[in-house]
Amino acid sequence: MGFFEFRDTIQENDTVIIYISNDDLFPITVKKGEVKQTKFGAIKHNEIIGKKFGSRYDCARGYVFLLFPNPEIWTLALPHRTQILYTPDISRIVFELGLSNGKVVCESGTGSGSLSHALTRGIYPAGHLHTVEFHEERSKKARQEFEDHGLSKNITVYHRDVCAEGWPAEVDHKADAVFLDIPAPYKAIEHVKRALKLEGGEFCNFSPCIEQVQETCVKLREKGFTNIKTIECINSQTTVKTSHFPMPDFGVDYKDLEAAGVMPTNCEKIGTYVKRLEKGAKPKTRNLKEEDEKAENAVEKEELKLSECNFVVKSALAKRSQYGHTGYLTFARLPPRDESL
Amino acid sequence: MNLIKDGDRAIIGHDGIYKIMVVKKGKHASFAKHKFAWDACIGRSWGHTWQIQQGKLEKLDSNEACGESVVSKVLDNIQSGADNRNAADLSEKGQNLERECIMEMREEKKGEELIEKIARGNADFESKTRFTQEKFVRHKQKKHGGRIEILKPSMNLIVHQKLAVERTKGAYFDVHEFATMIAMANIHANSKVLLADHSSCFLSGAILSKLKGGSGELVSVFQGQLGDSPPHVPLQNYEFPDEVWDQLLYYPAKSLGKATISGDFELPELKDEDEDLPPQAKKQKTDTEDNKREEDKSRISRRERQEKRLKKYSRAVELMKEKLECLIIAPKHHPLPWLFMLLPFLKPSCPFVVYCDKKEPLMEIFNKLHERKSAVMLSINSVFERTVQVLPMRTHPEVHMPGNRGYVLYGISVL
Repeated sequence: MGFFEFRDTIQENDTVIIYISNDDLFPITVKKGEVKQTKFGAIKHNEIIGKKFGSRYDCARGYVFLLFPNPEIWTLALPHRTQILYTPDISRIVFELGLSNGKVVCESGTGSGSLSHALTRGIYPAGHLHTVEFHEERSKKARQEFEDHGLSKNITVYHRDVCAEGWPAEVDHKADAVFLDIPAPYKAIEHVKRALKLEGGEFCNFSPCIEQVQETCVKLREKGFTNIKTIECINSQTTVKTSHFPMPDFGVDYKDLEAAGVMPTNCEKIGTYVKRLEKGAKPKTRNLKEEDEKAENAVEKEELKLSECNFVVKSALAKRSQYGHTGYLTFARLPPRDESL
Repeated sequence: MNLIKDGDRAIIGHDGIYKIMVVKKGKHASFAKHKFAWDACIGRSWGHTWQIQQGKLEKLDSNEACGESVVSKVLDNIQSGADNRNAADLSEKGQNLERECIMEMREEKKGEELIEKIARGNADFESKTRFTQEKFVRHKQKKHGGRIEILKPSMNLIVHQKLAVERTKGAYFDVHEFATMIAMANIHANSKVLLADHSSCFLSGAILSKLKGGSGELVSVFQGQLGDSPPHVPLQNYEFPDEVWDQLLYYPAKSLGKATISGDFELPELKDEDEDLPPQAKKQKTDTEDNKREEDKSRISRRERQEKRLKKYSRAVELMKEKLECLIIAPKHHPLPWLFMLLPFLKPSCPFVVYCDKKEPLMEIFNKLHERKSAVMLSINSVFERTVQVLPMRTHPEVHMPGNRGYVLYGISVL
């Protein structure tokens, strides 16, 4: 399948993302006769062939959605072989590297291929990504994954040590942009310079620790890079939840509270409370002589207690635990090397 | 190799402050009150750093181009104190040189010399610590140094420059939100994109530069009526070739309401220009032969223009009927009506992003989509971003960071 060639219907051998919730999604490769077990029950591959991407699949105990993969979904669904980069950092990296169709990018390390998909999208269909990974098994798995996603035309995976050897000689002075996410980026700056075009190019480094950044910036200045800038970005992702606030009981009725100016506005439940009062329901509060009133109106009016009313508020809530730090992004530009021009 | 030519558009500036200008032989331009002639840079390669020196551009070697080289040069002959025990208070007048005097010196002296003069003019400069001195020199270098880079415009540079200008006028999106939208919408050169953009072409420019060289198409639903075309003046900075302009299609919002209700998309009619011309012009038309020839010329170009527009309209309608692969919305209105108007034109399992500088409209959209079960992967994203100063022994986040940033709602349409 082509990762960047959108298709409406699911076919055999396609990579399909099974969506259960925002935190629970995973990829499957569709094969006739296979069955995938989920917490909602089995997904029969035969049944999803011919279905439309984006459609609902009913399992025994719930339903899932069948989605077409894209780099953002892939980042959330991919099998983790390493720590990975997430969309907030990725989108900034791709933007600052100035990627566009036809450009050549170098990356190291490949890791789980989270960023690689987004980089490839930036240069697709005419460009190329040269990605170096020093862990042999990971480089093989990544190569296989890119092939399954129909991207082998645009990505070459090399198994080598970027600090020691850099990118292969045939890539020398071909790259428009280089990205590093390795433990010792400062050891590879010389190779970065060799890979970048003679007319200059963009560089980005991702490091979790400030010491790595410190040393990298020193090295970048030494090698003639300019516009060195380090940023840190933390994404706060929220979803909208409905919260309920119970009303405190002050022993008086809604109208008295409103007159005293102590009622919140724009709340759903209090609205229904008022409506029912208007329809003839009888408020139940402590300061009234409940017993007597009850005897009088017991038949006609239903009783309403303000303290039983919840105030309903829609609010945007962040996750209970979210990323407080991912890494520092250092951007730099290499000016053209030919001084005579 | 790509060299600077007369008439090219260039991005000039330094340290994140940039301007877009046209390179003109024999002409002068100015940057941060430094006037200079273009001539020296024509025929040289893009990306070098230049020193403005008495109205002329002088190319700096790559080892000089780094700002830190000035710091060490200026401070080479200046002593420094062990600590700040004798330093003057911030509120006291520190500079012995008058402003006029500095402005005059800017005309004559070379960058480093000027900075050294200013440094020596600073009260008790020599008693300050090296760190304080370095900070001072860096600051003055930015202000008076007269260094510029001349860069070839690219999408990210143009967006950086334009957003910096727009933000001073009243906030629109920040670079990070912009980058997030472009990425999350899954745009590549072959994408079919549906867009509602009221941000003076930031998004349409960026999207078109992503579509360049591919088979992608951009349908822009613009504020206007049948027969109009969206504004495109800010797109000139991109200097797109004709093929890219052909990838830009559009359809007016005013005809969209009817189209979604009845399913019929209106298209503008081709008019013979006689009908629109005021009667006076009609009279004049018959006056002379010369005039007639000119009229014919304008009639053809007008007819052509109309036909071209009709072609763009009808291709846009075709694509909207087929449905598109990503949807981006950044309106100046409440985004909810825009989203629910355009969502039916998005294929299932395709991403959409909505930008708003307030959170509440996006929360309403979130709830509505959630209730209708018409999208998954819903989230509202905002970012905390800060720049970090990285210097030996002096690394810390910068004192100021942008506040009041916008929000991006992301989702994937489902059946």
